[in-house]
Amino acid sequence: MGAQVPFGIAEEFALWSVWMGSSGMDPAPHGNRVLNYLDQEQSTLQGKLSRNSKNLHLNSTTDQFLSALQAGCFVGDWLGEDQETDPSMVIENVDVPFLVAAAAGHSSTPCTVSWSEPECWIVFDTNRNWEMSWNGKVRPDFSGPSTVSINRDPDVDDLVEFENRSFCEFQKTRQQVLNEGIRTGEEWSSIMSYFRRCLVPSSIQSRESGAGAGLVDTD
Amino acid sequence: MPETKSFQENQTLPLKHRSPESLMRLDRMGASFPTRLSFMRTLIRRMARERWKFERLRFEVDDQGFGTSVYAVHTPHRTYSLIAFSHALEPDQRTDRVIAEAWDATFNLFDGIPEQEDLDRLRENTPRQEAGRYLPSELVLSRANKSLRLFDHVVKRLADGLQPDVSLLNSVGYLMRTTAVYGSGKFGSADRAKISSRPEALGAFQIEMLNVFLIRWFSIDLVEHVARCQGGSKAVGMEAHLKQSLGIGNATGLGMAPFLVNHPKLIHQWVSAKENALARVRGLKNVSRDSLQSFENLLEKVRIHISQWRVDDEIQTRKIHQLKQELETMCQEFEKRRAQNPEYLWDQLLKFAQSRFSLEGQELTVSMMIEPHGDLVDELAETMHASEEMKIQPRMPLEKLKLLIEDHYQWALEIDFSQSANRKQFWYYSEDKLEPRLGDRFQEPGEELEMPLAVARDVSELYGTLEKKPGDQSTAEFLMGHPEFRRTVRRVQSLHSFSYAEIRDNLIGENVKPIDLLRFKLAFFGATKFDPKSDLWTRITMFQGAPMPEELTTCDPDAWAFPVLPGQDEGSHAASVVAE
Repeated sequence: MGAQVPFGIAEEFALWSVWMGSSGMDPAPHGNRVLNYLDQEQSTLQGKLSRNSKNLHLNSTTDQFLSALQAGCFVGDWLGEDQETDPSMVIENVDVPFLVAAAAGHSSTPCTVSWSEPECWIVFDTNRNWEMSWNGKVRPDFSGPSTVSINRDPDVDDLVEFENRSFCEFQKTRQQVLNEGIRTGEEWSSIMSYFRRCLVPSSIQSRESGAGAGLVDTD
Repeated sequence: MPETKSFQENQTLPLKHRSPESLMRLDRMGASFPTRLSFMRTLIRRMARERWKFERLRFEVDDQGFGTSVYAVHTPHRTYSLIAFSHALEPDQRTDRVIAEAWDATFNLFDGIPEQEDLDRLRENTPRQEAGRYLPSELVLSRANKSLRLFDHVVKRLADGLQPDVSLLNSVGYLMRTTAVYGSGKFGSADRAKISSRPEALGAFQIEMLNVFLIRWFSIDLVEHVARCQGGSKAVGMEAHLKQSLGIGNATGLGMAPFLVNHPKLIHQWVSAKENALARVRGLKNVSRDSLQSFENLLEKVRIHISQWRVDDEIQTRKIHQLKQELETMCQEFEKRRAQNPEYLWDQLLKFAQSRFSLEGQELTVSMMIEPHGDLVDELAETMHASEEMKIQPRMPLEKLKLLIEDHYQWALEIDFSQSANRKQFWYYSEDKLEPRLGDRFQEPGEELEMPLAVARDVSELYGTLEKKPGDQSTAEFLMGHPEFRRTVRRVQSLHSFSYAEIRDNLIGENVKPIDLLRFKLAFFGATKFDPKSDLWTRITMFQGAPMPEELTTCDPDAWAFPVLPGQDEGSHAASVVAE
């Protein structure tokens, strides 16, 4: 991914990006932010797992933020497992909270994902539809670092208290995106610059002998 | 007695499947042959069964063959169109490599029938290929170059009122060869999810194969058009059996290798379908007269097919020579055993081949044995797709993860990666148009950007790390501290019940031959006449011998297996087989 992210995590991030695209969103701004945090060493992939009387807890092992790439992978694994032992978990100081929500959305497991800056709550239902509710003017998909809570058995009654709501009828939106595509913004150029870091510079030798076929075919 | 209806009562042997330890090795993968389950065969059967209709909607091409063409195919539920842009190309720009910047012809497969504005938009983008941008209305992006020596020859002969020289036709086998066929969301085109539930797209690579089939039609139209422009009233069209003998060439390089490693469940499904087909045939207790006769006819046809397979590569030439001898042996053995009227004849013949033949001889025997049993095996083509979803099991204790490796990846643990020869090469994407390349780890830069194709090494490293960890630690805890192993852990935890998913060999060793991987995949496509040009790439022919669009409703859609061509040395017999 151009920011020293292992392939196993990068591949899962790609799936969350597909989920964001299927929800009609450009995944580039979120991808760009999470890579920037890592590239600038403000975040780490190193996490530590613990359990208290109420929740599973995940936090960074350093004073850096925990990368949403690691947090999202863990959330996806946890939601993908058929278990009742740990109904909820808390992840402290995640750099890009919305990517954790994207991982939850990709998992197709009903749950809620919430954080407090700004105060917001995202509910995923059994049909993969999702609703984001929040207070204040800033949409929570662009919030800064925050502590994120995930609950597999949500009580959705509190939703009425939020000022703003946005609903995504997932399958309908996905079909529309498959037929029409999505609008993308300028942040793709930053993603591409990360991507280019993954390519090996070409040399005369590698151009001539690193791949098949001749450089000119007159057959 | 039709074998389908009586399959269960006729089959008393437990179905025998060949072991993954034997099958999923590079040397055997590199000896693969197409079968009647191959994707081109499946597509042609569907086209004929559903009576697809073909229509040339536009052919706005000048007398040199440059311009815009649109070919439509109407399936029972929807229409697809091939949009073809043919261009002038300087000789020094003609290369089969990904790094090419210009081509003789560029194509889109369009979902529906394009409007003028679609054509105008694509005319600005498609000739630029990877540098262009596309919409979900485009399903495939591809390009092709002419075989100059054949294209120019055919133009001249047809313009002069003559048919092309058959020996030259046979020695090349195609007028154009594709150098890339991109599907599934590349450069803005449609995501696979858009079409994956359509019946005609359900099987593997069916839409890409349709694209190639239409390019074949276009290439023949193009050569006849240019000949007409040059020859005027003197010009003639190509005879039908010669058209049928032309396929579409393809130059295939390293790009296919990552696909095989990155789609393990799909590969398992492909191999399982073929092995299930073989097991069903081997399990037949009594063999009908019809299938005996079909096999006998096929043996003769394959004998000619192999005799017409000529390549420059010395190693492959030796293999073909041995294959010819083994075919003679198989003919004799078949006659001998047939006379004895034994039970389980097919099982006996396979065991004979396994004990006496080269890997190519064994795999050719498998393809031939499956061929006469369409009623028994064709349904298996419907199983050759898969979801590649793989999940981490976070609670799995490391001691169990270790056991999984010991049970299913022993082949990987047996490779000593401390030996530099066993990790000499690395796969990477070059900044040159993302061309996949293979480099020497100890001589060339870029090792840190290696593609993750070294499954054996990665599993071996994971196992070594697990040995130092407490067995009761959970996978989740382990991955928090070792995110670099996430991909390998997910693979081990997800694939243990998919026995044919892994290539059980070292893909970074000193002696790895990527061409083995290419042939394996291309055989599943249905390609023939493998023509290795080095260890890194091969040319092949697709749809050679297949019916032309106008013949689909009147011919046997399976008669083109192991195509034989009208040739000088095989004379009229070969021509009659093509005409069957």
